[in-house]
Amino acid sequence: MITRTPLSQPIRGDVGSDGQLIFADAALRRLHHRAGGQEGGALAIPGLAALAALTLRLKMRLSRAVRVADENEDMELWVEAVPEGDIAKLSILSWRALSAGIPTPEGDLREQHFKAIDADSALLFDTSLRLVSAAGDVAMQLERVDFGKAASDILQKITGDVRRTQPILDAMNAKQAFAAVRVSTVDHAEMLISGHPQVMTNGDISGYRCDLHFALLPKVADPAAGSPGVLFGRQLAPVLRQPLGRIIANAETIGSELNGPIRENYALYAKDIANAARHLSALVDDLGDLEAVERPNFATARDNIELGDITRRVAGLLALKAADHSIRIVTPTDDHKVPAVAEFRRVLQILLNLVTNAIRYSPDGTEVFIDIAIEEDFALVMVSDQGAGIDESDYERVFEKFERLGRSGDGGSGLGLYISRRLARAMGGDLTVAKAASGGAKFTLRLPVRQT
Amino acid sequence: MLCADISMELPLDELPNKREELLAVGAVHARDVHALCNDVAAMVFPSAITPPTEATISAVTGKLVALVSDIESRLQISRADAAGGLPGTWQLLARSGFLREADLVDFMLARVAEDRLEAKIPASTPQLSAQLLAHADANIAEAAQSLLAADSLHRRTRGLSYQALRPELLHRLCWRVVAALEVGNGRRDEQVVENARALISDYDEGQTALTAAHKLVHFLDEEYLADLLDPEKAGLHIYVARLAQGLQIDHDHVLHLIDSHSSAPLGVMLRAVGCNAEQAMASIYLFKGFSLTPRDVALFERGFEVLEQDIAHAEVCRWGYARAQYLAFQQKI
Repeated sequence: MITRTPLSQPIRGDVGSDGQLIFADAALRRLHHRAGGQEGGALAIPGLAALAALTLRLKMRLSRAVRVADENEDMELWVEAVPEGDIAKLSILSWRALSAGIPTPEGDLREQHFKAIDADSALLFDTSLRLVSAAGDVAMQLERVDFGKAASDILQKITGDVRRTQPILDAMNAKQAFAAVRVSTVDHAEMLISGHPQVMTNGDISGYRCDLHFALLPKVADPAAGSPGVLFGRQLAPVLRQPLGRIIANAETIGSELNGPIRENYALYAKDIANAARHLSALVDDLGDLEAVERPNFATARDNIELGDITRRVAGLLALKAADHSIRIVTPTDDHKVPAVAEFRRVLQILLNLVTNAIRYSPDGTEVFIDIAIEEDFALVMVSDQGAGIDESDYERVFEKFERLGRSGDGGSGLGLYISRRLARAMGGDLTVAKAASGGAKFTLRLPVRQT
Repeated sequence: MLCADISMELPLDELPNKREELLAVGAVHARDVHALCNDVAAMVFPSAITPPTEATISAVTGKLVALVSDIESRLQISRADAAGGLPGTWQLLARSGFLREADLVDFMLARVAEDRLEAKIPASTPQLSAQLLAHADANIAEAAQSLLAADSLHRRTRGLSYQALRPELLHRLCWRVVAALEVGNGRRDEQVVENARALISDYDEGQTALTAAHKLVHFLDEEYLADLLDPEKAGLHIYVARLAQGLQIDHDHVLHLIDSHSSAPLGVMLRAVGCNAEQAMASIYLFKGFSLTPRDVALFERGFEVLEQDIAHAEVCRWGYARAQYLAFQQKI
């Protein structure tokens, strides 16, 4: 794990009270220069400089392991520091080259870990190659339902490049490492994917890790590169989501007084902060989607889906939100099935948007109905509520970008329905609104039916 | 989920004794869940969940008293004004809040934990440091000698307890005692200041047990790696230094984690440094043998191999980060 280089003689150096490297043996001088230091300048190795300063401040003999970064490797030096007047006398007794230390059976360990650290994103799969964890930018592209899905589905979703991901899947199935396979992403950028099996100390394989590098490559010509949205969805949205997520988590922790009681008004402020951040986070999501659906070449996957199943998932996801308002979500019975061809997560997204709106604009204690049906070549999902409804003259206007129909302060961005309709149309269907029998609004999502 | 699983095995509409069985199973699981919650909470809010016992507080106080007394003695301060066996500067230091500063108390708590853990290692066990006295590498032999000397009971009781302090703490404590003395006497004694300077210049961090153990871990080659993770062979200082070096967390933090009421933190640390299950269980039995519950053993058997090394390492890093933040925050206020 660690290789120590024995030294026949200590490497010595003198550092002044102003941090200047007054004298150094050749090896230390080289290290100092490689760290960006100059002849006669301040010692450029932070760990050693701090030790020298400490020994001078305390006027004590110190003896410590100091970790330093050389250009090619990290090292642990054993250093003794003695104060002599205004000079710290340093003696390096040995050094060890450090590695990150998680053993794997093959490949250059150091390189693997360097790549892992350098990677923009990482995906971790279990031994059955089902997704268990995602980190970095790629996590933003994934949804909760993606965890547990097969590696082939995940890679296809991220890359949309079935041909080039096949060698990756072959290597993963064979539990072999692979390096720097170039694939394009759904955003028409290019990335490098490297992967290696995760190995336990007893040699058993515990899973598989893929590291994704985006920024290292120039992007290939992208017809949408000039549009401002590409920059937002691909680069800004992930950057914004992360701090917002932290703000929400921290504010909720404070608001729920998990760390101990605080003044009531502070707890309320914290909840306001969490709500505001949640709103901003939803807006970021909407803007990212907006950028995606407005690209001329935007396309969706053609999954075989069953609408009854999706409606029940939506009802489950929003059950708590509905219960807060004593609203009941009525879904189709389990035996009622309507097969369709559309992208699973996009349909889920549309229905989440429709049912969230229905809950938001319905009086407490009412019901939201989700129904499914087949009409000619289309599979239908109808979401109707018992709210005030939408005026017929607004049936088209409600699908316009940033249209709020005069409402404000309810947490909406005015983009949800616009995006939902664009998504529905991209999947070969449509989204319309009409008056429900109860007087509320009734949204109908049409999708191509799957012929069984 | 738990209730669902149980009810599938033991339908509620069966015989009444099945219901009792169900209740008993439920009660056991509830206790397990409660204990697990405590484990997690203890790592997140250690002082709130596991406040120090009276015995620990008393041990820390005893060590602090000895420390201040030893420094006073080294500074050649008369004990004439000491009251009730306490050092002369004790009251002033206590009133100033210095004796409650987080890093000093943390250091003392670690020493108390060290005493408790050392008592669990059989004294008859041959320790690595004694074998290394004859090592061909002078650095190793010298560090082994320093470790043995620092660790000797003789030295601990000869009024040199301050030599075990970290340099930053000794520096602060020494000058605080000098200041307290000035305030107490209403005048400055140059001899005391000279003695304080001498005490500080005599100090050598390399002679502390902690540093000597870390030096050994740094210098020893791979052939010793297995021994370093065996507390009975390596001895507590080297064992803890090896864990601290491998996990890149503070030595005293490792001591606190081993000394925690649960075996889970030690299990996670051992997984993070790449111990196999057998090695890990040996350590856990050694340090936690008396308090191990069937739940601990079951958790260990089920969880150790499943827990991935890098995930365990990341978890330990989070603990280290949280502790560093806690100490830094306490220091500021």
